[in-house]
Amino acid sequence: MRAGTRRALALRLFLLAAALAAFAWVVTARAQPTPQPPRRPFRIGVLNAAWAASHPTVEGLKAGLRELGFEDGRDVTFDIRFTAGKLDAMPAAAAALVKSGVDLIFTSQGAATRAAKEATRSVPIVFTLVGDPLAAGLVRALARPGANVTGVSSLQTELAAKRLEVLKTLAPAVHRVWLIYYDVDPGTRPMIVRALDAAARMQLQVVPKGVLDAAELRQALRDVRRGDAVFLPEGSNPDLAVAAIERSTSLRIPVVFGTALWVGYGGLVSYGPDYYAEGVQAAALVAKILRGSRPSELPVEGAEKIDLAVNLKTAELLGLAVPRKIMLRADAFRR
Amino acid sequence: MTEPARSGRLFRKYVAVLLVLVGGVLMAASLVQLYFSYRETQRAIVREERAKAVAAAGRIQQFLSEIEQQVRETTRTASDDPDASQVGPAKLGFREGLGAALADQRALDFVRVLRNVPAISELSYLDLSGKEQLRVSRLDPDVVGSQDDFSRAPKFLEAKSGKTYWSPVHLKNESEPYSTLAMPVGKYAIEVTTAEVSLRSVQKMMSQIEVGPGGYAYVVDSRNHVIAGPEALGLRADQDLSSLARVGSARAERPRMADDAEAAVAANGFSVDKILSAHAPIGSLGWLVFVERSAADAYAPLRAPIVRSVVIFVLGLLLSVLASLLLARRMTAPIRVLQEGATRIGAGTLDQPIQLRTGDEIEGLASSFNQMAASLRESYEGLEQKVQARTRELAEANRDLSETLEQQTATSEILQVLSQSPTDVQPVFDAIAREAVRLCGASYSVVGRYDGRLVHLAAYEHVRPEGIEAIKALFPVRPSRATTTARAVLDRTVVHVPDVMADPEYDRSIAIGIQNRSTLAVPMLLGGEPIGTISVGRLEPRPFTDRQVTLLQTFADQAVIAIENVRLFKELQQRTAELTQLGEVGQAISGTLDLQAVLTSIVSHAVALSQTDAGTIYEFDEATQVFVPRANHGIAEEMIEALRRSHIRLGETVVGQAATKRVAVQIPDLENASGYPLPFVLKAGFRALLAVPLLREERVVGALVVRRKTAGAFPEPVVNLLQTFATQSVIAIQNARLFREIDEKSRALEELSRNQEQLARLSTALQEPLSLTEQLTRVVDAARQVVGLDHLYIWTPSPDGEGLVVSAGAGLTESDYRPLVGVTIPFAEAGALAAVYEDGEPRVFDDGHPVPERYRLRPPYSEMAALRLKAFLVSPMIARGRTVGVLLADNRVTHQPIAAHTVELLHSFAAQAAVAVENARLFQEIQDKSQQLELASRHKSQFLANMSHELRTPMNAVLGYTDLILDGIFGDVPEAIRDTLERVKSNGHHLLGLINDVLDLSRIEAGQLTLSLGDYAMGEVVHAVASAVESLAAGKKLALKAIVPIDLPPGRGDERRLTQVLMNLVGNAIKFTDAGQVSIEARVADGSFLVSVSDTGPGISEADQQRIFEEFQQVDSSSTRKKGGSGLGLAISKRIVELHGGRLWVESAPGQGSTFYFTVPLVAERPAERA
Repeated sequence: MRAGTRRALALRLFLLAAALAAFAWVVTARAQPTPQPPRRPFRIGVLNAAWAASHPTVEGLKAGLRELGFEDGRDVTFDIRFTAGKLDAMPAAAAALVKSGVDLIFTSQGAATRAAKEATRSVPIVFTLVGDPLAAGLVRALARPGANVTGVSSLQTELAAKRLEVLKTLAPAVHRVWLIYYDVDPGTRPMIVRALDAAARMQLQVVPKGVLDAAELRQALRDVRRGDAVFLPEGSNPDLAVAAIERSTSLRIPVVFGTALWVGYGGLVSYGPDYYAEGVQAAALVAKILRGSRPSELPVEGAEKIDLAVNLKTAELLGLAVPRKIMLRADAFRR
Repeated sequence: MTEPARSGRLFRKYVAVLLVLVGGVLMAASLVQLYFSYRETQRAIVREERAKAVAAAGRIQQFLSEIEQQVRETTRTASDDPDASQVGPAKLGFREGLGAALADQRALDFVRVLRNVPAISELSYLDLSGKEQLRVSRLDPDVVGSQDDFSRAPKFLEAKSGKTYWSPVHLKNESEPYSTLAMPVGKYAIEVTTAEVSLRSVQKMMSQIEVGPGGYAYVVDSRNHVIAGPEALGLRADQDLSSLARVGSARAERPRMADDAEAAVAANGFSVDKILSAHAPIGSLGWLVFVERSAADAYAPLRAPIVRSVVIFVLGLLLSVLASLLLARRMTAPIRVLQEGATRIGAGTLDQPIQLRTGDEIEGLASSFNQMAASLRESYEGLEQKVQARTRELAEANRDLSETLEQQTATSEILQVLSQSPTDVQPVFDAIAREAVRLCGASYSVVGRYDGRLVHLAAYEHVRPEGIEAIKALFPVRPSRATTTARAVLDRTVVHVPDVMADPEYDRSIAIGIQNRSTLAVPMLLGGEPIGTISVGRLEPRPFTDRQVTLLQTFADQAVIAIENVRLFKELQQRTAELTQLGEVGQAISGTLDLQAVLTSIVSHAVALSQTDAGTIYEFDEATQVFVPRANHGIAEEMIEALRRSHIRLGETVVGQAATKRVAVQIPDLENASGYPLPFVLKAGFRALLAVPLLREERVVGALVVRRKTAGAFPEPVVNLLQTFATQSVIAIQNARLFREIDEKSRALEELSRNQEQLARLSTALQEPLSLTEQLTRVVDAARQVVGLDHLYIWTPSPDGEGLVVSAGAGLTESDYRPLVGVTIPFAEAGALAAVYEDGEPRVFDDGHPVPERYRLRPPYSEMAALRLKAFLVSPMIARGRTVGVLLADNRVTHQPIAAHTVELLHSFAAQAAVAVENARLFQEIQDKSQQLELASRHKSQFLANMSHELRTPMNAVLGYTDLILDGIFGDVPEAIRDTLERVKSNGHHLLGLINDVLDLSRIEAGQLTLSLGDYAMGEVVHAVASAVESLAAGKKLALKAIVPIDLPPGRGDERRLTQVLMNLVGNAIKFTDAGQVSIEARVADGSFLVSVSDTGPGISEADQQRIFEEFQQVDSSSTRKKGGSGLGLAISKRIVELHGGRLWVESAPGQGSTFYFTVPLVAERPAERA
């Protein structure tokens, strides 16, 4: 054990210790948590029968998602398929969406929702503007849909009686109401039952008439006489609404619509959900699903915003005085 | 080489201790630091959570307050007017007028609220007494004055006491949380406004609270039911969370919520194991907001400190490793020098002292080692001398020992020889002779055997050949004193003669012959008796030592043992041979049942084992009382024949005597025996005889005799042995007899079962429904095979009953049979066939009994080849006492006579064939009849269906016109005609009902009525029927009860038809009951609906209970007249219920009322389509 050797050893040890300390400092510095890498945006497929990409429900969805922190382009992107009224194009469009690998499908109305449901069992589907999802067979139960489908119900069945009431309040002289419904939608049956039930209490006669297109509607409306009224729930083919407005103004027959949209085109009165608000409402469901909730566990929500709209010009044309109760409640007027 | 390892161990120990010290301190420090920062993080998280909970609570509070405010604005009412609340007659009119105006205003107010506040879905107004006066809803039509009573509802009671009341959460559509808000209206007399408030906004607020990753928030109401919470964790509105520990403890500590105490509660979360939870109350509602996140989140900020601590820990460890290496090396180097020195001392190098200059305790230790080495060197030198002295002593002792050892070796060698040769003593003697010469230092040795008289030479050894001759010449020798050998036998003791020349008794000539001077002999003694000797001698006179004498005695003892061993071994061998023989005999007995073989085996073995020359086993023939030779061994045929002819009887010869006395009898020498009656035995050369009896249960079965050609008595063991053989012979004879019997019996059984089988096959054939011809052919064929006949025909009456025709035949060739086909022999010409057919007696004709003239066939039938018979048999076929045909059999081909038993057998076959013929006929009849019946029934139903339809159409017209007339369409109807028309109408309706019933029934009968299955509710069916017949029951003043549990499951079936059934039953009950009640009850039992209809009517007697379910039946015709009805209803109802797969029945007794029951499965299947 010579002193020289020992000193050299001590020096080596010191150098080693210094190197270790430096390494430790580096490791400690590196161990600070790093921010998560940005995730690729969610892709939302949109499917409806609209004539343009900017359907109010889609606009509502976008606004709602933005409010919930999903920025368009950064967090979500939209793949919008609209079939311009062609229902038979739905299955192909739905299949195309599924094939393109979207994370979620946002639908409006029963036909689009049914097509989407048939196209996939795994991709979550959030619907809007579906009148009666239970009767339409889209969900197993409102509280627990049970599959990959949930959404916002337009409360078509629930609102049937209220619509008759609105009609009766605005046009007290009416005794017979023609209930026009879209004949291919199984979801309309409970609504008809509800309307017939309520009509009995209001001393109204409700005549259900199933139609498939505007031509049939015109055929059906031949039997409408002065003093009758027409009840046209939402969710039908837009052609029907247009045909009903035409007939209504020419025959001076009061028509109650399901949504305010048609009051703007000359429809007399509407009581029902706002399309845009339904989109916003559905955005909350979409956000929950994107954040990991299972659609099978998310209850179907009823539309929150129910508007009463009346067209005073049409009312004047029909010779109807709008009572205060309507005026107070009504959200929109169209002149 | 363990030294380096040992020093290494010490080194490692030092290093380890240092490491543990440094590492332990470092780790403890890190852990303490981590723990405290963990606690701090936890506390910070909980603080943050609480802040969020309080903020959320505030927002919810604000939300609720705004709603309250909005609703409150609608509550300005007349009640606010102090005057108005003073209810008195004067004020009433004013108040009413005001009330009406206010009601309108209130409706408008409500509408406004609905518009302004989306969260409110419904508003209602309850008056002073809690009755609802107005309800305005977003979804349902508005209701005015429903008068629904809410006076007991908490919302009314709470609000009436002046408070604003929020109800616990409840669900709409099972998913949307709602709370009911109730507010007092006015200040004085309290009316109440209530509002249904959707709490979805609260849900939204909760989902928007940013709690951090994995965190969530939820609200519970005063009952701890969830108002809003994260669905992703499976938390659903209205879920009861009272069971959660943190909710319970939050409730408990609610009063002191203000302080910022330790509020973290670690408990099981909904999806994570540990959570950190904080909560805040919402105003005075008793609602709580919870904010929680996973406890694991609290660890997240700790990750960096943990990594840091680990690095520092590792670094510290490394440094301490280096330090301890250095230290340990300094410690262990001098120790190693010390160790090397110690190793040197240990190896014996004592003159090299250890050189070590460390100046500490180790140097002291080194000098101690050096001193020790010096003293060791001194002590070594004295030790060496002592060792040399001791070595010398040991060498002497060793010599002695080796001699003893040599002798012991010899002894053991002899023992070895002894053990190797258990059957022969000679090798032992040889070894003894050899060893004795060698060990005793002798010139010769002799081993002698003494047989009681003489000593024989057994083994010897001599150094000189002439000595050997002398020894050989000396033996055998009698015991005497002349030699030491002879003297040792005589004296039975050791004889030692140191010098034969000095011993006067010793025979000098012998001494010279074998050239000995000193001699020593020891006797071999067995039980004190001499059996031999061992002697040694020397050529020169030198006495034998004591040791040598003892050695020779040992040899003698060993020789005795060897002799004994050989004797015992031989005895054992003998015994084993006997046992083997016996075993073989036993095997022969059990191995074969051939009696002759067994007996032969026994006798040959007996002869071999008893060492005799011949033997015989006799069997005693009970019938003739004579012994018959059955098996022999060792004697010629002539002698066997002679023995057989001798007819030995009991008491004669040894055989007879042994049998009589039941003991063994022997003749030791035939020459000396007088009166032996069989001279040829002696002539054949036999001298001695031994006979033992064969006895079974004291009965003589035979005897066993052995014969020997040498005279002499048979010793006891031989006699015993023969007894054993005798016993075995008895067993063998017995076995053989039994076997013979069994064999015969089983052969008989086999025969029997073969016959049974034939009969069984026949009766199987008869029970299958086959065509008559097939049946008969089978029977005939079977019969022919069993009985063994050439031809067999069955003749049965022709269809016109005029004669007999062949309906089956067996064994016939084509040419025989063809002419017979289709031929009817008239009875008058059928001869024997007709006779047997008529009187039923079987007849046999053959050469002994020729066919009499009257039984002959007439031409042309007698000319047919098949019927030209001389010998034949005719047997009647009788079934149920009726002759249905005859059997004709012959042996025309083989010409065998027809045996008597054949007639018997054929007779029994004839009976069976008759049954077959009869059965087939009956079967055909029944089938025809049932086909006709079915057809008739279908025609009937079709007819009824058609007719009913044809009847109904005009009937409708009749009734329709009658109605029109009665309605005065054709002008006024005079009262008299109206009365008549009413009767026409009522009877017409009755007729129409009847027609409808018939139509239904016939449809059912024709299989045309099918159920149209659908879902239905049995409860609705019952209620529909009950309400339909209500007026009918009320008209008769009968109480009508319908009992249906509310939880009846939905069913599947034909609702319309089931309604018809129930309507029929209830209608009947009302119709036949004059006072009391009718009750309907439905419930579920065993997967079916059980519906009962009970009445307090007259009841139905047991006999009538069956009839009422048949068509057109009522209990009595008087009641039909009185009560009307077609009597078809129950029949139809029963069919409908049965079509559903159910059952309809009645329980009743006269005077006790009746209860009709029916069951239908919850889910009815469509019944199989009927033709």
